[in-house]
Amino acid sequence: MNPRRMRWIVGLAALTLLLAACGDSDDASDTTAEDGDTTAAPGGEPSGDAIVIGMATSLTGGAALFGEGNRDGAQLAVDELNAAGGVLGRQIELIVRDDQADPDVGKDQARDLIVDQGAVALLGPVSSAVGLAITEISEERQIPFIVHTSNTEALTVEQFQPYLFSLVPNTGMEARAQAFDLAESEYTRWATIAPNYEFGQRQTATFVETVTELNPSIEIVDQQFPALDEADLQPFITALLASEPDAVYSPLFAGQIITFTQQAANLGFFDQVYFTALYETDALQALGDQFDLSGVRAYSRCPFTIDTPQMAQFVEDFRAAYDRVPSDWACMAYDSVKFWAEVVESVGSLDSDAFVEAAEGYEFTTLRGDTYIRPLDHQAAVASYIGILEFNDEYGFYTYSDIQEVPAEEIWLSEADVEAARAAAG
Amino acid sequence: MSTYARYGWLGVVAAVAVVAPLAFPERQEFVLMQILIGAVFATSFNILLGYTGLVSFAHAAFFGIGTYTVTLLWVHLGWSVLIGIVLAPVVAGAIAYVTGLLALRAVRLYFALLTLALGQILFLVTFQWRGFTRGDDGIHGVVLPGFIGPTTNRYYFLLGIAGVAISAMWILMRSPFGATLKAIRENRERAGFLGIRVKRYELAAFTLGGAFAGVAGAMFAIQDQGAFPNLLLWTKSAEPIFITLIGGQFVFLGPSLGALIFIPLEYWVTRTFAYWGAVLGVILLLIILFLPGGVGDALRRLFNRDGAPPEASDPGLEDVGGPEVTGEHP
Amino acid sequence: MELDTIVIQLLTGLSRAAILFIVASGLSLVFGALRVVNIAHGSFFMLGAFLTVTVTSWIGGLAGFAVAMLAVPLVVAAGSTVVEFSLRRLYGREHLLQLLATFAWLLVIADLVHWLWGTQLRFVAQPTLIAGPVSIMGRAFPKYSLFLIGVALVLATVLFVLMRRTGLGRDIRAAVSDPEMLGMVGVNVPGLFTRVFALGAGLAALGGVLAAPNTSVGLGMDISIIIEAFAVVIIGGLGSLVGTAIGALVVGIVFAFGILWVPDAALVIVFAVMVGVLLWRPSGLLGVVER
Repeated sequence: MNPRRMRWIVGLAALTLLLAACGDSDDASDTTAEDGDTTAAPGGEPSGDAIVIGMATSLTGGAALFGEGNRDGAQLAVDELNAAGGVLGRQIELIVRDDQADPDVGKDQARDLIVDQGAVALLGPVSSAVGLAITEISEERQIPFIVHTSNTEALTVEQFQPYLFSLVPNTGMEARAQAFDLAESEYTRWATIAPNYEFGQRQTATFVETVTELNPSIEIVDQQFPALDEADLQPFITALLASEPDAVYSPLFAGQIITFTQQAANLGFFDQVYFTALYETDALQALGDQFDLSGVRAYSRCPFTIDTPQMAQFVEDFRAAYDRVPSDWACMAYDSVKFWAEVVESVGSLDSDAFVEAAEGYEFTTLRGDTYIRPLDHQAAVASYIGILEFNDEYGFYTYSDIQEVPAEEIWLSEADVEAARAAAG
Repeated sequence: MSTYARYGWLGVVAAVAVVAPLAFPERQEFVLMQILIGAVFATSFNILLGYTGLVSFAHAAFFGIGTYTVTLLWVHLGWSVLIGIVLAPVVAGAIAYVTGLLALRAVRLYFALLTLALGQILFLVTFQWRGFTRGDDGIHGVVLPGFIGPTTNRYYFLLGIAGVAISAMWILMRSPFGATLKAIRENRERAGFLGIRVKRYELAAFTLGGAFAGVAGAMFAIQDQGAFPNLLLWTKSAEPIFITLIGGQFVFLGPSLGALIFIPLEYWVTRTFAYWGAVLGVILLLIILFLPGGVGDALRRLFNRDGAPPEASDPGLEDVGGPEVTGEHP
Repeated sequence: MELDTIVIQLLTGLSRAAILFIVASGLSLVFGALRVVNIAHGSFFMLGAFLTVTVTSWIGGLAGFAVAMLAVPLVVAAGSTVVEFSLRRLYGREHLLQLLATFAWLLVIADLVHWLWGTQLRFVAQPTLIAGPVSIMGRAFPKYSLFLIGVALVLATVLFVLMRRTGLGRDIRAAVSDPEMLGMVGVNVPGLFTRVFALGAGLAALGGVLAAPNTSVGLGMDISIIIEAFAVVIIGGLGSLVGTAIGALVVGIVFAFGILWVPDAALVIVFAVMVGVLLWRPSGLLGVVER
């Protein structure tokens, strides 16, 4: 290669290095969550006197819709607070980063948000595995971390640390709600299908454990755990059917529950088994009217058809801002920001330890109704919701009718059990 | 370049490496640590690539095994990470040895694909064996000995390990062993005709490369205080390949140079631009097509040539003898 | 284990194998003729799927799908010439550099798809004619899966005829068995390479078109399909279509029955088979011996 070309390349390399070094001190673009685009939103330097709160969530990948719900719900809350004068007299700035559903990346982003951007609070990711990674950073840096989507029970039990708060019913609560309700049903041959990672494994395990304990005549005939990124669920469905269950329990979500429904319908699945799954708003919207899901028993964490005045108002505001209905994940992210702001105001400062102390036992009102934070595990006493799907002509997709609310006190681990589990984990 | 100049350069870079944390704020120190880890990882990979001519997609698996060794020893036995660092290359090397035994049954392309399969198996085992490895929850919050808790101390600690590891690899590659590997890379058949037990050397290279990858993995365990199964994915194996390619596979410090370029670049680009993949892809294409010896090679020629006509650009005929050291220390 | 269960699981495995065969055949042909392993092969698959999303959103129903099946592979094949062109400098050079260049393209194309279609998962509805269940041995089974098996059989026949009866096929077989002679006997080598590469890309894209209505379409499809395609060509051997067919059958059926009998180990089993085959036959069952 001739010398001139070579020098060009060396010059380019040197320039790159120089830019890389300078790039750290003046981060170029600054697109925060407001423009509502679907690509990862990089952050800039915090502006002026604003209080920064950070969120690492999945903006790409199978659960991207959930992450967007998180971002939009939280942003709406921030906008409302800012319009009313902010918190402690200062405006709030929300910085959202993409964790790519990877604990490694999530941890990095969380650390970045705190060290780099000066975030005083973190909001939760979609993936439970990422949540477990971020909770360590939250403890290390002593920054309050509020989860509202990722819900592995490990966060409040074995891996509990004082700066963590959960506003979402955890895997145990959700699974127990299902188990209590279904143990006395006519179905004794159960099978499960769940994504093969922390959330899927954990929730399935709790369901199985609880339901077999309540009703010893129940038999688990098959358990399938397709990989989280598995797009073709057909062999799993046919395997399930081969074991001839009466009923199937499934924590599949997002893209997978949609694919599952499509493929299962073609295999006569819904005619043969009683099915209950995490059909939440995003999935139901995507499925539209393609398949007959009337009468299917669904469970979720914050369906937007819950009948409270604040929810109705929120739905209206959300639709005005984003031109779509809010998913569970948007609702709970909204709740989390409002909760955080309320506690900070009541404390009068941004001190984390004061926050923790004030938050324990704190009573507040969410879109779902009144609740409080249980001091032992910082779990909000939020309910798990069960509903029967019914086609909703106004929206053009199935929504929850006949919503059954299973209160937290019935389904969360008793304080004694929480402590026993923590002790056992060492 | 004269010997004095060469050592002068090394000295300058070493000084920079030592002083760096004082110049950068804490948030950057993690990036510096990642550069060190990347340099060790890529240099260990280059033992296979630049020296022996082996392309392995399993290398990340050995990195990950190093990380898990440190963290699992802490989780299950409560052993300090310092013990873990010593054991990590042993465990990684052992598993690399077994993997190598299987993989080297094939040659070249099929060897590469076989390493892909074996690496994937290692990944799947780590992922599925939740009882032992905690599966995809990963391991978090490993407690470090007090003296490396603070970020800056940790940087210096890792700098020390990186220095030891890279020096060890340097000595190895400078030895007759290293020269034999280069002969194998240049022409495998001819090396065999010369009486070299090619497979044995390849296995040794594979094992040693894997062991040093384990060291890099242990360093990561310290920087991150945790482990995740994704560290073993074949797509993570692509990282040292890119780094080595950018920095140069024919120069010993090429991979380290590559880490110095690649990691801050990635850090900066991913924070300002959504399409890092495309950027990286374009850079790689340009390098592969126009500068296959990487930046290191370009620098070497710039500093070593005395107006002589350029070498043939086909890497197979490149000056493969003696790694002429230039430029930057990690 | 009852007969109807086995038959259903077998058919499920076959429909999975059908897509794998279509995709992997392209990979195998390109390797056989050009001695290039194209890691970006999965990217063509993904492009095919996403383009199908767009085409079927413009033209609905069976017509839209038919148009997609014909047009999308052609479009992707045409686009692949850009990739092939960039690889020309590397022919005859180390395999590694070619491999890495295609990896670089994988990164670029993935971000291209991200830029054009965003990050959301997409879905394509199955055309009514081939949607819904059909009854086999008293059990419901998707018509679409049978359709996939049918298409794969037709394609296999077409490819066979192509290889045995056409000039292109003859040139490909010549390239597979003796690449050095090729130029010497008067074959336009660069032209051949371009055409074979395009053919490979078109096949991958066709796989994408067919897969789209069956599963979800999202980023990451490129990587997941290429892994399985590698498993197929390694088992069957690169450069041999019959080998690819065998490889596809093995992977599809092992996976389907693995899930049925040993669900936890299904994924590992596929790779274990891959390793086993390579240890026994280092060039795959029917593969071209590496020169």
